[in-house]
Amino acid sequence: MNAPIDLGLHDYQFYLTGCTVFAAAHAYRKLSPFFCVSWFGAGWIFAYLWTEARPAPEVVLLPPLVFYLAAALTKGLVETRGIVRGNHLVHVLMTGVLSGVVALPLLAVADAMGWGVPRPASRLLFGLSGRWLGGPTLDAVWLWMTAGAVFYGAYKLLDHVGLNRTWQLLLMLGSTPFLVMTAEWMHGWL
Amino acid sequence: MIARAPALLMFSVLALLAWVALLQRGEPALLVAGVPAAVVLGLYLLAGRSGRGRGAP
Repeated sequence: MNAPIDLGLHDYQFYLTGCTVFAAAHAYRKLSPFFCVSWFGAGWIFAYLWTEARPAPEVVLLPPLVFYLAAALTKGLVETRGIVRGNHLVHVLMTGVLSGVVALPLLAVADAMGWGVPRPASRLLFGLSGRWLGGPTLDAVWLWMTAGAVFYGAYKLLDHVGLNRTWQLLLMLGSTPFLVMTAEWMHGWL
Repeated sequence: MIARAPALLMFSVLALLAWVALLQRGEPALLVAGVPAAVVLGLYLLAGRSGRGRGAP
C-alpha cells in the first residue's frame, strides 16, 4: 500500500517540534512558566549531552518530550491509586518505566525510516531480539527507562528539598552532565 | 484542549506509528511497538484524570 503522503525527516522534525510546543504549552498552562522552562531547558541540555549521534533537532527534542509524557501519564495513573498517591519513589520508578513505553513506538518509527535516535542500544538482553518489540531492542527500552528515571528523579529531588526557584533551576541545569553519567551507569548495570 | 495534551500527544504517537507501519513501510509487525503505549493510554483514560488536577507531574 502506498502512503498518500511520504513522510520525510523534515516532517518528523516538524512533528516533534509541534509536539514539544504543545507539551510545553500544557506545562505552562497547567503548572507554571518556571516548570516549563526548567523541564524543557534541562531536558534539552540533557539530550544534547546524552546523544551519541550528531545533535540534530530530532535527537535533542525527543528526550524531554518522552520524559514529559511519561511523567504526565504517571501522574494520571498513580494519583488515582490511594495506596501510592504522593509516593515520590513510585512516581520516579513509574516515570522511568513509562519513558521506555513511550519511547518504544517513536524508536520503531525512527528505526524503520532510518531517522536518528539519540543513542543506539543493540545489546541482546534476556535473549529477546528486536522482532518481539516491533524493531527496537529491549536494550533500547531499558536505556530510555534509566534516562527517564534519572531525569525525573533529579527533578523531584530538587523540587522537594526546599530550595528556592533560582537555585532549583541552576542546580537542575548544572547537574545535567552528572545525570547523563548516572543514566549511562544505570544502563550498563543490566 | 490543552488540558488533554498528554492523551492527545500519545494518540499522535500511535497514529504516526500506524501511518509508518501500514502506509509508509508496509510492515504491520511494527505495530507491536505501540501495544504497551496503547495499553498505558487506555489505563490513563480509564483512570479518568486526564485533564484534571494540578501540580508537577
